[in-house]
Amino acid sequence: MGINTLKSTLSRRLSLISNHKDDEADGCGALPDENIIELNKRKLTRMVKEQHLILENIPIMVYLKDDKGRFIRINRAFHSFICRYIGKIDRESISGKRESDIFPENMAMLFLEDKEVLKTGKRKMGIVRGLNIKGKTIWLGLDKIPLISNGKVEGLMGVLKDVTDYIEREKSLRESKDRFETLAETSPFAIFVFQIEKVVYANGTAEKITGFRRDEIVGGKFWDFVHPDYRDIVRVRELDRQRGKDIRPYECKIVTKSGEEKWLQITGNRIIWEGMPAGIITAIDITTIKIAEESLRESEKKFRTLAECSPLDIAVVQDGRIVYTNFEKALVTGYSREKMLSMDFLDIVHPDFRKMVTEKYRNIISGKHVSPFECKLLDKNGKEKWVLLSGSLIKWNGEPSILVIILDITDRKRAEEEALKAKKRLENILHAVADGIRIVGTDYKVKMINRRMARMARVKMAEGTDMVCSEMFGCDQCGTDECSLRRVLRTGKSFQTESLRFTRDGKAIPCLQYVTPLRDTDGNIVGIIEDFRDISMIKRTEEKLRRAHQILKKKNEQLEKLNSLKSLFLNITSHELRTPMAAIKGYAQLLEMDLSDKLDEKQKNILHTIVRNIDRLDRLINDILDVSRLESGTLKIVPEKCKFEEIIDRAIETMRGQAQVKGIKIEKMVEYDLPELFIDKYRMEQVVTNLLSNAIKFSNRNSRIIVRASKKGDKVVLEIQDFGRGIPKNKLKKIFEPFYQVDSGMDRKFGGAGLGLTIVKGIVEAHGGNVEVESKVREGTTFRIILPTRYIEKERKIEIFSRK
Amino acid sequence: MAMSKVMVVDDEEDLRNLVKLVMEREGFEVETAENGKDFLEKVSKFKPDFVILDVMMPGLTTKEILEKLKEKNVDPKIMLLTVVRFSDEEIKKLAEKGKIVDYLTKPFDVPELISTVKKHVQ
Repeated sequence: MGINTLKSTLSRRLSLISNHKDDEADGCGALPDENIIELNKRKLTRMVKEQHLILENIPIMVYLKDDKGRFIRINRAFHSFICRYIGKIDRESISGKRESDIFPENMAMLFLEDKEVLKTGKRKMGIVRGLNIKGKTIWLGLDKIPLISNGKVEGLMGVLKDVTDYIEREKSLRESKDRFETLAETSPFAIFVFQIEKVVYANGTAEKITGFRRDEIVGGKFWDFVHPDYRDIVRVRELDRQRGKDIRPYECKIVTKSGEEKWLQITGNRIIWEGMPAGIITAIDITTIKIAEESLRESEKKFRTLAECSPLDIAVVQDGRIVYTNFEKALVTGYSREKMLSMDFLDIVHPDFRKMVTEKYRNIISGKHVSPFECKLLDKNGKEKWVLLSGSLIKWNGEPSILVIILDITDRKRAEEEALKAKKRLENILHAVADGIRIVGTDYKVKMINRRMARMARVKMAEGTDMVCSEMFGCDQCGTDECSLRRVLRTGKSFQTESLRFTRDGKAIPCLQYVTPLRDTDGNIVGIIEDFRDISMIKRTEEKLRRAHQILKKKNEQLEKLNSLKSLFLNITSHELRTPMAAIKGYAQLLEMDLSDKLDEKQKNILHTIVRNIDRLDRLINDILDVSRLESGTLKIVPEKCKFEEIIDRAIETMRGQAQVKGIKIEKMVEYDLPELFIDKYRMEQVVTNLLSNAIKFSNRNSRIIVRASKKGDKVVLEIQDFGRGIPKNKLKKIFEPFYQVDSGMDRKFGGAGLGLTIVKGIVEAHGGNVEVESKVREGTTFRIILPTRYIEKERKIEIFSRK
Repeated sequence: MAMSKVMVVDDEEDLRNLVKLVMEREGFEVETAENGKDFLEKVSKFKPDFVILDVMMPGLTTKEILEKLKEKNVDPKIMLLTVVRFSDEEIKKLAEKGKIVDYLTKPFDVPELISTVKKHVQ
């Protein structure tokens, strides 16, 4: 068989690996036509090229031999192996040579099986051990594949792989395993090795601890003998460990073959066991420790449970320091446990009690019995707390300590203090009251008296009690049904009465007396509480008052008489004076009219003067009447709806003559839409007239007077301003007083009784308004009257006088 | 034209005569009465057009006089003479009782008396 045939066979085999279809096309397809053959040829050429490329570049050594065992070719990996270990040779020169031609003797063994493969056509695999080349031991893996075409062996392909590293590693592992097993067997700890879930190794100690034989353990699952409660934990941890997770030492419970429970502490590591990752663990039997620990914890737990269920603060004090508290937050002091555990017990004790507490502490430590005692603590806010402390000696962690139980009695203490205070207060009140108070029992004996009672009855505090009631403070009702005690026993009700009382030395005291039944908790009357008030003073005062009242009554009658006389006088004045005045005035005027052409100027003047003086007298009488009415409050205001401006106009009209005499101009400035007022027309006109008259009186000749009226809110304001001599400031207030004259010397000069302004003020105020005045000496005076737009007072009824 | 008749009623003789003189001087026919009773007796016979009546007289009150006057067959205008001032309201109330047309306060002005009476009697 030529080399080309071999090549094509090789190509076909290789193509079997890469492309299955080609084989079909080539082997058992229909007869191909020319074109297809040509195409396949090309395809084949390309494939050969590709396969060649692969062969050349793989790191595995490959060689091809013909059926006679002669090398056809080697790939690059094999060539470089030869170059490295045997020496440089030309790759092409190998073709057609036998191994003995190229390789030294010791390496010929690599090809020992080639003959057999070529002969039998069977594939051979194996490892060549310890090939010593150039001082280096090399291990090679061999694979000899026969190349068969049409049932005939045409050659072979040899594949060589350097497995030195694997072999070396395996070897060292085996060695370490041996060493490990030696070590493990002598270990006092149980050692298990397992892969995934299967135990692959267990030492002798493991047998001892678990009670199972080694062959029972190995091959089984590690957690088979783990206590069911811990099985899941162990399983998860140990699987994690094999996955490379770092697992801390842990404890678990197992059940031995005999059913005994044991505690193991497990530490472990990840190892490679026979080329595979595995877990190795060391288990120490900690059962005894665990039991001790658990029983300890159990008892402590019991204590804590008890302590923490307690409604009291419990603390353990060791060497003065707090080493245990039952609450996260102390009930009494409010400190957190953390804080408490950093404190000395004395820190929470009130400074006043530290000495005492220290002493008690010493006594307890020295084994003496100390009864619970009260003391004050300070809570975390510095607030004082009363507590009842009880201490007893205990062992805590083996050390003598004191178990302190703290009971908060602040409320109780406070209540006690309050009660005491209240009692004191009540006593103080009882003794401080101005009334005499005593308690009398149903046996008529005095049970208690206050100081005032003792003084009132002229007995000593001590001797007052236990006396028979009537002996202590006698009574004009004694022995009758009106006796206070009898009455209370009869009615069961409290009452108030007046009675005459007697001291032991016979002094009589009129008393106002409040009597209240005293009952026990069941409501039975056990006595009475009597409250005596000495009313002798009141009685005396009453008498005085009665006398005074009679005197006043008499005086009042006289005054009333005087008052009626006054009204009569006023009536007479108004009527009786006016009638003769009317006659005088009338006859004088009649005379003047009748004799007007017969009288000379002088005589006419005389008559005129008579008339003028009558008018003046009339005005004076009117003014006096008005003032007297104002003073007695009987001035009649008869309000009517009217226009203020009309009143002003009439007043100005009335006064114009007087003004003209002095050459005075009256200027009127009135707001055109003044509201209608509800006022007494005549009286208001009198007001304006009086003010104008005043202004004219005190104005200089040829000056002017301004009359202003305007609306200000719900008020109407009238101002009458003159530019006369003015009023000194210190006299402004007095001008409204009756009969007042700014300058008494002016009386003659200006006339008038000094009643005008009094009347003005009275009338304005009777209308609910008020009068103001502003004045500057030598500059003038302004009178301002302010009137409400609505008059509130009721309209009065008219009376028509009769002298019947 | 017949003279108008004026009746003067006042208990004060001097005043009564004064008013009578003034009225006669002005050409009225005048009759006088001393009080309400006297007035009521004379009024039916005299039949005055105008009465000048003093408000405050002994005997009957003004109110009574006015009421009784209604029973007579006369209906004179009346002017009151008073020492107290009346408001418009009061006058109105009195007017309900009789035909009161005016009033004068004492001491009155003679020319005013004349003009007031003449205002109402023409």
